[in-house]
Amino acid sequence: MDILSSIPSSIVIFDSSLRVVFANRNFLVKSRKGEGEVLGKKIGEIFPPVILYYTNLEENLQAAQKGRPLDGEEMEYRAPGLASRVYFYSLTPLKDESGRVRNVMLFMDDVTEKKSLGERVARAERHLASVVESANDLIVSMNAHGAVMTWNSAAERILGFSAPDTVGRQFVQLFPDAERANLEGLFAQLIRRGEPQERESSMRAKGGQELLIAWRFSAMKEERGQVVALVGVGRDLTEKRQLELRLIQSAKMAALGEMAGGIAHEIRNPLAITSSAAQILLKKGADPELRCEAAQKIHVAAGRAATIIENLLRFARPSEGLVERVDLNSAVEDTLSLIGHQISLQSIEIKKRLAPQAPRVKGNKNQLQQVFMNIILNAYHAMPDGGGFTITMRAVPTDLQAAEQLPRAELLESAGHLASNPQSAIGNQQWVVEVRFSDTGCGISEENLSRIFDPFFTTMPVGSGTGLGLSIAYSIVRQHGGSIRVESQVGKGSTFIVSLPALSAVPACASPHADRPSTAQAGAQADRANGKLTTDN
Amino acid sequence: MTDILVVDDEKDICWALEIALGDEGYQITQVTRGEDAIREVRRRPFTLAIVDVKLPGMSGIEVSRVIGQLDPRMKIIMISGYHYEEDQPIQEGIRQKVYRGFISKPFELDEVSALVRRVLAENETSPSRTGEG
Repeated sequence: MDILSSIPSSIVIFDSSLRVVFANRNFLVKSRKGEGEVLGKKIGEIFPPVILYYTNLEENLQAAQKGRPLDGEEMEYRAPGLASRVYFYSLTPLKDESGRVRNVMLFMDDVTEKKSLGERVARAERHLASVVESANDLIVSMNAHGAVMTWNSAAERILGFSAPDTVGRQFVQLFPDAERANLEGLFAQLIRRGEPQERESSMRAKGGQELLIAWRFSAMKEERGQVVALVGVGRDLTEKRQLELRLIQSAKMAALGEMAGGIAHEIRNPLAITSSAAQILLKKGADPELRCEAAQKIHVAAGRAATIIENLLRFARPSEGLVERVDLNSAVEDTLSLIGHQISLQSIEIKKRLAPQAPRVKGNKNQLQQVFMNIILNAYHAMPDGGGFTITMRAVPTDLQAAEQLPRAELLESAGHLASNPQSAIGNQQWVVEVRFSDTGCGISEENLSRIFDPFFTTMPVGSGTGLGLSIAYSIVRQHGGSIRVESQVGKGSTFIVSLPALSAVPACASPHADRPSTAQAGAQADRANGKLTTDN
Repeated sequence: MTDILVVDDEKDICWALEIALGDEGYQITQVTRGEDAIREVRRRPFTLAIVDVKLPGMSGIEVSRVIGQLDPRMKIIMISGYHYEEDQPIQEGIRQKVYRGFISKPFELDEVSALVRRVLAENETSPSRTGEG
């Protein structure tokens, strides 16, 4: 019995009349009883009635006496004056040589510590889960193959899909077709390199509405560095984007206010022509030649006024952020139709060197026009005493744009021959359409140059500018995946350069580097096209 | 014959003014750029110039200053779809008698003819005006 005494678990042995015949030291210590208080007692006398009631210990003991062991149950036992402890107990029938049950052993293991550790783990898990659940951001985990494992309640709320809707499905299936390949590439990179990846993607919620979500994906690794799961945290940008749209709209209205005089003038000219020609018609309508001429002028002038108003309304209309194929040539022309005359009024001579065959860009024409409008208004304010304003457009490969190795004439040749090519890129070469706005105005000091795109930064007197125009131009261009930069010299003028990713690229034969015979011809054609369609002033 | 120079970058405005003023018996020369106006005035005298305030490149105000210096006897009427007679540069010109009148676009051709007649009849007295503005 020495071994039983030193075992750190409680052992009590009952005889066939269910009286205690043995209790080890551990039991006596835990129960704060002396051996004499235990031996020969019935179970009801050594355990509190509450425990017996809840554990059915008495019946189980009787069952064990009949040969049915009890494998393991938990019970909480509080000895008088001690903190309650949790025991894991079992009942084992002890048989004699003939196989008859003589005694029953109650074995009680104190699992209070183990249990509280488990509870702490469970509590920590619940805590983390509630952090994930109460997050405003979408939190999604996937296995290494991209199948959704967990889906938090923000994801349910924002996208409308419940966890059972999505768990087990491929996460990328929740994205539009065009985005899936991008995401798969992104995940592959994430698994390969392990660096978190960010991406703004539009997603369609269960209800059908389109949402813009900014995702950050990271890899979850086990000890050996193997990626076991991917975690995506997404923020719903829809509301932010709507606020931005509202800001863009108010800045546009401010720009329109600045342009109002010029637009009035733009309409009063064709009105004057219409009115004069009508007066001539009334007075001298008998002359068939004059009658025809006057009627034509009325017709043309009315059309001109209508175009101006149409452009004005199209520009003023709140932009809904729709994405389309945009011809930057027409975006520049439409903008100039609204503001060009106001500029030339201030003795500013406008020169255009557009590239009618430059590839289209993906974007929102209304917003891009606003970018151009803001840059043009900035130039207008920079040249109060007149000057020159040149708009130059070209298509250029991104690496070439960075290096600027070739003379521009050559670039224009290649740019001229682009539009017909439906392919998005040749040999991974990315192209941009670049629009340069150069003025001969006062220029921007180096100190101001770094702040020129800051919201509310203005060098103009209070009341004459919002200071929002260029910052909005900046954010619109960034949203289009493009860039905007300034080069400036005080006293000489500034050049704003807007670059937007081209939707198509230049056919290989028209590439500046190609030396096949067709190059010369393509170049010459493009040159002719440029010569014919590029207008100066 | 009274020679009138019309300077407006809107060709059709020049066309209408030429018909209306031609009917009155004036000889009209039309140009669409300030530089051309200066060249014409250097070449020969005009009794009157009708100059659009807004011109591409050199402004109408600048042009009228130059041609007024080239030929101080020539009378100048300004025309504009942008400015009103009350506008500062116009007021200034009228006060200094650089401009003898102002036409606001759109205009009544009869009133333009009447203004031209009045300005031509004027000796160095107060300026005249017409137009709806």
